[in-house]
Amino acid sequence: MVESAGRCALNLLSLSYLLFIPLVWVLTRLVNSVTARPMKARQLLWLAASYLFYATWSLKFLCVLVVSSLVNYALGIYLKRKPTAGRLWVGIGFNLLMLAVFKYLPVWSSHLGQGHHSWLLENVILPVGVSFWTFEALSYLFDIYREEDLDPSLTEFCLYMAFWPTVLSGPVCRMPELLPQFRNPQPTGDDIADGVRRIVLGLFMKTVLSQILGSGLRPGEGVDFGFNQMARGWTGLDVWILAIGFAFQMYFDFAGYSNIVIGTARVFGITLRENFRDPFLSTSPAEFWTRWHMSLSSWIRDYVFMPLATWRPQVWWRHASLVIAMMLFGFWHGADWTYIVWGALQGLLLVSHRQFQQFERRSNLQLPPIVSSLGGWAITFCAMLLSWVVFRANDLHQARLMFHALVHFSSYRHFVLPRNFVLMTVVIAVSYFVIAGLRRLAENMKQSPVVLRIGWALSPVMYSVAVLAIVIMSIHKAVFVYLQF
Amino acid sequence: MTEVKTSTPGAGAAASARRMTALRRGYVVAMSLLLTVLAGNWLATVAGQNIYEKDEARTDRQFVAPAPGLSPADLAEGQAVLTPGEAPSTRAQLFYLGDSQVFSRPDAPPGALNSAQWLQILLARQDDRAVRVRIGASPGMDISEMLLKALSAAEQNPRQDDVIVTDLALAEMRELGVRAEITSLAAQPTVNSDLKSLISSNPDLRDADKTLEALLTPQQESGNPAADKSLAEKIEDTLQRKADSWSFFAQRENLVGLGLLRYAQWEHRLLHITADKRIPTHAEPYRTNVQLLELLMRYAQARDMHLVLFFGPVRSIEPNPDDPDDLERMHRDVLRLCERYSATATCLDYSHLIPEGMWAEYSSNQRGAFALMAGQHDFYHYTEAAHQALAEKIVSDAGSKILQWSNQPAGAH
Repeated sequence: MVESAGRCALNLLSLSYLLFIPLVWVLTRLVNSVTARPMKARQLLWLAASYLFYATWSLKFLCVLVVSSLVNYALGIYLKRKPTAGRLWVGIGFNLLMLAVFKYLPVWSSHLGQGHHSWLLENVILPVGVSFWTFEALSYLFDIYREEDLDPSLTEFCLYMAFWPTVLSGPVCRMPELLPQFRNPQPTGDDIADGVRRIVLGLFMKTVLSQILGSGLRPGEGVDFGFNQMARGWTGLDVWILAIGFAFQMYFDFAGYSNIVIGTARVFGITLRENFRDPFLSTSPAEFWTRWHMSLSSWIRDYVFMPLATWRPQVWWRHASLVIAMMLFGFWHGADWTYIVWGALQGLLLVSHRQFQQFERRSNLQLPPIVSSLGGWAITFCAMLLSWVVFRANDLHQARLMFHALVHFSSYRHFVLPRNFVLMTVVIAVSYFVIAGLRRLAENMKQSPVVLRIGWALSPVMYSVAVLAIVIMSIHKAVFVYLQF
Repeated sequence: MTEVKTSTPGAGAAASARRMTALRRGYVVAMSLLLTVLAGNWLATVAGQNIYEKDEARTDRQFVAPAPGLSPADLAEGQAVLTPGEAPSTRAQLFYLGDSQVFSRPDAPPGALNSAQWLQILLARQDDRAVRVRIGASPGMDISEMLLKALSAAEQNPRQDDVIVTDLALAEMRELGVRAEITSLAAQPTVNSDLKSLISSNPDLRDADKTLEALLTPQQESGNPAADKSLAEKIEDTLQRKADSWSFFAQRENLVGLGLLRYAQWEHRLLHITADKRIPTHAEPYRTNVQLLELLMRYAQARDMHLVLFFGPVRSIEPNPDDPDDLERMHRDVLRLCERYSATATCLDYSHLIPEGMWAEYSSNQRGAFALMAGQHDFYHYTEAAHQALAEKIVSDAGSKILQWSNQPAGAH
């Protein structure tokens, strides 16, 4: 049986998780003050908490994680003794095999259909987060190959792989950033305050905003319904609304998840990589990928694109490397043509942007900054929206149908989607840009004591509104979209 | 000495800054908690009042009030429709389907009768041991939901349904989408297997099959879900129960309902939504619903059940949400199906049965979303008198056949 996720797990949106954080925090304080070797004891406590957390998803998942950790640790020692390309390839091969068996085989076997299943295929599990922690293991091996000064103990390495805030869906961490923090975390009052703020913000983004966009306010509304209803078809306007809705649903879902995870780690004095930074304000595709799923895009840049691009000096190869790297990025999400085509589209967008930059330089074209920024933003935003249609479509046939509606101007006369969903999507998208603008304005006025005092005085109102909304909307059993990757 | 002199004021300032930061944080935490508790309790009170009203309304509908012309036996028959669990298996089972039109009486006082109860009373007056009417109608029901309810009812009862009586309205053919509470019926093993065999034996009705395939869920392997729960699940359940002791937490579902109602109020104002606004009938869901209706007819035929379909009453004033062309197309398509399955299906046309004076108007006294359209014409619901008229017409047109079928029961379990 293909087991894709724990049916009864300790997830980030449960009350158990909200109890789990202070419990581990108190135990950490206790261990720090009572034991003679607090560092070791603290690491062991966190490792035990991480394994307990992951085991609630499935004991089988935990077994795979432990085996992967042990083998990768051994591979690290083997590579450190003599960092050769051959030894690195052994490590890469092992991790790719892990991904092939545990991430892609269950999907491929389900595509084979009845009658083609062997006992082995039917019993392969799909451990949640496998693509995230396998990429962490790979980055560790790459860093050792580059002769970075890394000397994690077995406990530290296992903790790096299983650290409970990140084990389900990242952010994809790097050993050089985490190791010093595992050894000497120093949570301050600021860390705890900021951590709690981010957890509340993340819960609000996921439980309220992403939920409203994904499932709608009423049955028969929402992005999921809009994409899954094939019977009525779509008009051009519907496709744009669905693209906007899905882009923001994904953003609130995954950025919300990232906020909860980063906030949790922050409470324990661990600063994780940021994963999102206002991606929809990007003025070019290249900038977008420094603001969206940053931990994975930088991983792809450092460990796939750079080695590929430096392989041959020709310009065409650099462009090809971009497309290949982005196709791999797409394939990382799953063995589906929609993801691969989405990756190829992203690669082509990046190449087009580079070509335009070269054209600008060669022709000495100088657009007024406002035109350049606004035009760049509009083109990037629209291009990203359209690429999300391919990403979310159930198959390429559906994507083709939706694009067909987009290019037929006669299909722009009315909406098939419920008006309420259209209204809600527009309101949420416009609010995002208004709030982003206000936040930038507030950042510019940060030094003003009046602004600081107003922000401080009003923050309890914002917190309580957010908490009340989270509690009310927690009636819906929500699942993070990125858990499936 | 100099060092000490310079560092002391700095340390004092740092300590004072730390105290200020701690105070500020304390204010944010304390005020946030206070506001959350106060606002939460207030919201819980508002929601509590709302649920009290809902319970009251439910109680109103759970009894039959004595009225002139109703004998004690009539009252007992009308009451029995509300308590289907007590239906004796010796009687023929009549399953009454449709949308809210067949049971909602916006003008009626508590305990008033709907068309299903009138049908029961009128049939019982002719033969008090022949038929038991059970209501399967739900507000806003579409044909896929109808089919699923018919399948589930046929499997659940001590005696298989002998007759299905259902109204057909354009509104039922416009939408596609089975609500969660009706989808859950498909998880019952017998309904699930019935659905599977229905899909596999009717490959020509592809759109209908696709809609039903989406309802098929993997069967639960264990009959005791509570025993299957992991420790993590049990802990979460306990925490949820504990959290329910805060009234605000316990009222979440009600608060969502209230929020939606308030939202609908604004939506109606903003988008100028009125009851008479024309509603388009899109080709694809309509075609799928017609196929689902055909599937229901085939199912009834295969199970030796009789099907009485009637075109529900239409309010014939303009402007009107129903497009006359759409109505005509529906009549044409359904009549064609009735001809094809005439051995078990009977079609009746009650489009013009209810005169204008018997239709309801939305009023501010109504609950929920209906109150939002106060002062407008109600195009779907009619008065209590119209319910009686509808039941009388069904009995006059098909009553003798129903009583005759009740003596030749369909395949008993």
